[in-house]
Amino acid sequence: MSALRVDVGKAGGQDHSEVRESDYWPLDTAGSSPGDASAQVSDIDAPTLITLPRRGGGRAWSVLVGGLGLLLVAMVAVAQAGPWTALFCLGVVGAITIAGTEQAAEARVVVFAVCVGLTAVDYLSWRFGVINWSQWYVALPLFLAELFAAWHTVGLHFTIWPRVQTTPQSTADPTVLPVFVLIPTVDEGPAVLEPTIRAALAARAAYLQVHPHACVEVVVCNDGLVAGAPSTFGVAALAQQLGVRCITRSTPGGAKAGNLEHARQLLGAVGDSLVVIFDADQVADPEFLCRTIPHFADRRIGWVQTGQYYRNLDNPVARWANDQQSLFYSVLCPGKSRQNAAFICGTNVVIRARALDEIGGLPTDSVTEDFAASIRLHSRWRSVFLPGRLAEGLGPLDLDGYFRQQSRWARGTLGVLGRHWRDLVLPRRGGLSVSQRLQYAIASTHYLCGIRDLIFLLAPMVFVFTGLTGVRGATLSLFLWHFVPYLLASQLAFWHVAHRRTSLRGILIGFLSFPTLIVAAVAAVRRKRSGFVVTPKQSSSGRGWRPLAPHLLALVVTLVALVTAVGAWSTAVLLPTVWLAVMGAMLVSGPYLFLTSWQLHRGRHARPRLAGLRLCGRYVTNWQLNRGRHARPRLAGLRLRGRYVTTAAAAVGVIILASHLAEVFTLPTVSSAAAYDGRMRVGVALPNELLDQGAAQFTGATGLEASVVGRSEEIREAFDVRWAEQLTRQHGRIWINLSFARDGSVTLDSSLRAVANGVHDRDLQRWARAIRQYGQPVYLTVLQHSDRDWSASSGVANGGIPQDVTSAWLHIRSVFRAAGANNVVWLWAPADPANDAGYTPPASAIDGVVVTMLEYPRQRWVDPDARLAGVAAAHPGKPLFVEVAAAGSPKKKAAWLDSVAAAAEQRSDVAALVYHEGGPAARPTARDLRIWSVASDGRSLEAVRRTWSSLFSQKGGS
Amino acid sequence: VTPIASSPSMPGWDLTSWAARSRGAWLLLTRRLPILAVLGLQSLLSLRLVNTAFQDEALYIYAGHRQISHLVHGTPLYDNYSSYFSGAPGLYPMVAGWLDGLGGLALVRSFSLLCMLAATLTVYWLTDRWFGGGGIYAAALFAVAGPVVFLGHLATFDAPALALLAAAAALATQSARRSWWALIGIAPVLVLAVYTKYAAALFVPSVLAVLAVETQRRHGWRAVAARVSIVAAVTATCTVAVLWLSSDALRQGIVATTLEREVLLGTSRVGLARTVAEYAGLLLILAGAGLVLVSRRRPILALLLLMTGVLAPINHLRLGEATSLHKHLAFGFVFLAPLAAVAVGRLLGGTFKSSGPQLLAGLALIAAIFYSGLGQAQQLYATWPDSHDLVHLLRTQVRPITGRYLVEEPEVPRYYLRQLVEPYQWSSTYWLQYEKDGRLLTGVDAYRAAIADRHFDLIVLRYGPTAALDTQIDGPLRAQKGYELIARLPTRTAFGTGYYSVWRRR
Repeated sequence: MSALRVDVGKAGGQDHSEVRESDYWPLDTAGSSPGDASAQVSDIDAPTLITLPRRGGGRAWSVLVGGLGLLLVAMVAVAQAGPWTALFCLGVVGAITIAGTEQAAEARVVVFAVCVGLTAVDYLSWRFGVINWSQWYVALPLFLAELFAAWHTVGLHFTIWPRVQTTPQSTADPTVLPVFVLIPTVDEGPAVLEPTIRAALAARAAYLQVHPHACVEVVVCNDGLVAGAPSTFGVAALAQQLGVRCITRSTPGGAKAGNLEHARQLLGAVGDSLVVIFDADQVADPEFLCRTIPHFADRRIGWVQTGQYYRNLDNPVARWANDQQSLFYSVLCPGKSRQNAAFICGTNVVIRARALDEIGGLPTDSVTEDFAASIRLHSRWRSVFLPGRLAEGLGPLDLDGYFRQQSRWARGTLGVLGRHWRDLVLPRRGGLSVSQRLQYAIASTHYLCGIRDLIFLLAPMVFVFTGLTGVRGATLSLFLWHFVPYLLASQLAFWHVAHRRTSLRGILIGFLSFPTLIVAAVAAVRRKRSGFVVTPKQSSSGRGWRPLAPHLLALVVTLVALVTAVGAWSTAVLLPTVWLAVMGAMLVSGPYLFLTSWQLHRGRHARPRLAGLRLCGRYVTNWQLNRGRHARPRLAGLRLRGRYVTTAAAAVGVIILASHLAEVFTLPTVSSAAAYDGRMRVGVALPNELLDQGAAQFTGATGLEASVVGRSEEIREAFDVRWAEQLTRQHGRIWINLSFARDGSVTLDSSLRAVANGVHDRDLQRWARAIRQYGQPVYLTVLQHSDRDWSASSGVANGGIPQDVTSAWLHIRSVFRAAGANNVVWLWAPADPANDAGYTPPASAIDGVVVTMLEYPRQRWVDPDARLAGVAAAHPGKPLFVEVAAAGSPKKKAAWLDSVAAAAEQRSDVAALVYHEGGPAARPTARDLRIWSVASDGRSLEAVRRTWSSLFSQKGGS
Repeated sequence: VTPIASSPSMPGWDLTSWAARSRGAWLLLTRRLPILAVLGLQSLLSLRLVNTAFQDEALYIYAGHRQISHLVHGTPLYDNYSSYFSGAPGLYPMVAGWLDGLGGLALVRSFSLLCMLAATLTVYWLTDRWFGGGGIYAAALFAVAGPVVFLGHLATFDAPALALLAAAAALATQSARRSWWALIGIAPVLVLAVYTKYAAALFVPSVLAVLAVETQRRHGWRAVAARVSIVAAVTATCTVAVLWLSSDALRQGIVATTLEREVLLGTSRVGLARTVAEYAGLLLILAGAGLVLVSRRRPILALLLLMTGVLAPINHLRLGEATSLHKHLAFGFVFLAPLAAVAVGRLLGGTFKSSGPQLLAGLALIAAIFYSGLGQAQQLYATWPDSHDLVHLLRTQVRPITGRYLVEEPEVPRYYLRQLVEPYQWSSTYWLQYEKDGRLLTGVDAYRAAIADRHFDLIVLRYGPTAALDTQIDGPLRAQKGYELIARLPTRTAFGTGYYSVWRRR
């Protein structure tokens, strides 16, 4: 890379007065075509220049490109592909970009920028479609605020896009130009001013050492007299002491611009001379002049701006403000410079006096005279921004000072926007270029972000308190589908460029200024004039917490809204709640910053803490340098803690793994041999209505301890572990009738084929695992009464055939077996077990047979003896589980219950005798519960007490 | 002017070697990352497509299962796949069946994705070889095209055949660089591609032409004559040998699905042209521009690529058939994408060192293909109904061995319920032969007689491809004569909403 060609030798010894006027006249930019210039790189600002060739192009090319750009935007907006747009950018654009460039940072910027732009289009196009026009007074401001935010997000990436830097044309020797270093001051006082003057003198000395023929004069522009500042005479004395000229103004007017113009005219700093401006607190780097002035070798350069950084970073407010400033000076300004849109920032700048002459000097009608001057000059003059710290100043010392500074900049910038909007919007021959217009539009609208932040703050509150919403027809998933890619892309892209240049502190302090910015915006709209307020260089703390009053109020309302939202929790308030929480957290930063600033100001707790921090910093530095000396004990501790954490994590992992393994390998404690152990059990089958108290009522009424309790459940339900374990504690066994109906209704899924073909396998596996885990014997009935058409899983109806019963039965058993649930006693329960030959599963697959005898009133009741004999004959060797219930006259019922007991007494294969409460109905009525109850009448109850007790005492029942 | 500040050295850090390593890693990354990013995006685009098995997928995978079962256990096939498959049943279906056994439909579709990714890589490589760069543009254009994305998640012959064809073209290109192994490999790969899908034969001359063009460029016409004749002869010999060794059914199948193909779904020429424009229009325009741009440098190759790219559309226009047009277009994209990449590359400055507007223009073109591809793939994937509910319902009803089921497009439930139902239990609404009173009935009469006899346990009609027949046979069903309607399952496809009507024998 070649250095800027400044032929010092040729100009050496040449007096600046001999320089021809035409040598420094700006070129007619309209006549030149800088875009055609081949790419060359200057060492001057190597970090910012990109060596990209630039294509020339005519109007047709511009139209084509514009058309394709619009096509792209339209496609994204129409497709509304959400994350796919982001993935497209990261995939295709990323691939092509990386393949086409050797500079990684450049490639990343391009990919992120495209990603941000397209995801923003995607989100906003979707967002536009869901605007709630019926409540437009809420919806429209919110949408406009989002649009505004997107405008600045995309604008940032438009600014930093890698571009061709126009090659400087070295056509003259700038060192022959007289240089006037102006230091305007009002009331900063000698203490602040002295280092500034000394630094300016040092810069002059360094410059003269390189260019001995040059002429540099340092001048203090003292406005203290007109401002009535007590330090004005001290300033004059200081200037005299340091040997610099001091111009004290006696006629007020024009604030800082007036002061500078007064000095400029007095000094004759006009025409072919350079004016350097340092605010009173800006301490220049000795290299300042050496770095900036060579750029004026190009006669088109009107000014060279450098960054503005703070040096009092031990002050929290200054530190936070510095982070905010850094984003502008370290990220944005280099980008603006590449578009010839770096504007004058009022200090740390070198301006060609002729440029100022053109517009009659610095504008005195604006509090941001720098910005106003730039916008008027930029159509004819070029600008350069030099990155790096070439001067350092004092940042605001407290929030009050910071807010005042922001207010002044906001009023000035918005005022300029009000006066110069035509220059930005309307076409004008020889006016600003498109890029410059965009850059000025971005810069001048920046201070409207206070209104944006207010809307963002109010929108969720309005929704929570009133239900008014700006969005209609948007689901949460759709919102996330479109917003998350945009959010992620913009955040990643932002922090990619802002990493180590700014911080969250910069974002937060920017947000905190929203009340100030709103006031400034209102003042700008009302065209209310305001005086130039110098940012205080000493902490006043006079107003205390009062500048934070709006923030505290907003915080309180936010907290109330949060509580309200949580109180009325629903999916609809999820997003507002999250957003409120974010806003609340940002608002908290205000009091936090105030407290830390106040703490420092008070100087009580701050010092030991700062001292501690310093000590800590020193320690860390030592550790870095001597890694291993100081660090070892700490590292050892860390390692120890690390091992402890690892061990603990491993232990937890082992416990979790062990519990899982235990579940996998736990075998049931009881095998299916427990179907019948020679003892007859007595019990009760309960409808859901009697589930809680039924067993106790049975015991209380009959005096028999229920050693088996049955219930019906559907396959979609869960195994009731609590109920089962409760019965186990009472030495009872559970008997479950598992149905494939859904809410008592027969569906296609209930069919035997559905069961056999595995439709319910997942539920069956769940049941099997739960029963295996339970570990105690479980009597299980499935496919009850499948030989009848009323059954949910029928072998004679709903497409079922008798052969399907066996298929389904075996399938269910195989699922349980595969799950290791061997503690199930499989009870085959047809409606007519004595005549079920066409339906019954293989004998080996049945552990017991259920004999159901439910006797209705006014019907002929079955003979228990004959029935049991018939079933036993049909299923030889299988234990019988007798389930009975009757509703009829007390006499008949008592006699029949006696006969049941007698029949069971005669047999040795009856494993259980269970009374079925509630009758046959799936959902028994109160009447059913009453008439079908074992305690429906005294005679029946007495029969049960007498004969069943006798039976169980003989058969070994409990 | 700016002094270069020396970096402060830190103990334990060799900044020079670290920087060198870092730069080396970056260079490696910049070489590999772009194509990896494109492949990643292509994978995501394909994997996002969700639907149950397409009729052809179900057919081929099921055939694979049956053939494997036939080979291993001697299970009868009950079908002569060779007679109507558009690829050799012993190749892709077997692979698909095996993969399905391992990991289900998702794995079979992943195999297709792998094939399409390989094709993208080949396009990338070919473009760099043919035009000295721009491979990444070609890969990007190819990868995001709708039919390519679609084929990347479709378990049919197409993806592997396309990958093999692209591989053959790559071998043809490589062989011109004195790579004998590449020359030897061309013929087997071509034969494999052709037998994987017979329609790939359409592109065999193009691959031979690529071989000729590339060989001529480096070695002259004599080498062209020698190499092309050798490869053509070996390819023809292998093809004929396989034909000679295979069954009559395979030969009939090849003829029936290619040369004497019966048009199933006739479409007007205008409609076909519109479809071609929709799927390939932008790529064709870009390829045309690319042809102009390289007409001086590589005119014959450019013309060859463009001609190959339009082969499939011309063939479909000749036949007047839209079936599989989108799939065959993807074959042409292998040859069109490199040409189109030349145009995009020129727009973007050969490399990416162009300014914002150029990027915008190039980006707009690629994005247009991307977004249209995104929508097209989604639309293509929604042209068949989601059969989940139907399969679930059938699972509650079907009975092994003895049940008889008449289902419109039974291939899909047959595949999903293959563990429960034998192939002979299914009947389709395309063809039925039914014997009644000693007479062998076919067509509508057969269906009517079978329904009157309550021959089927279940009847499922969708009023889709065979709607004409469905409306002729559903009279007794609607009258609930012998059958009861047990469900009407809504289905939604790209063509609209419809219903599966399921009748069960009373």
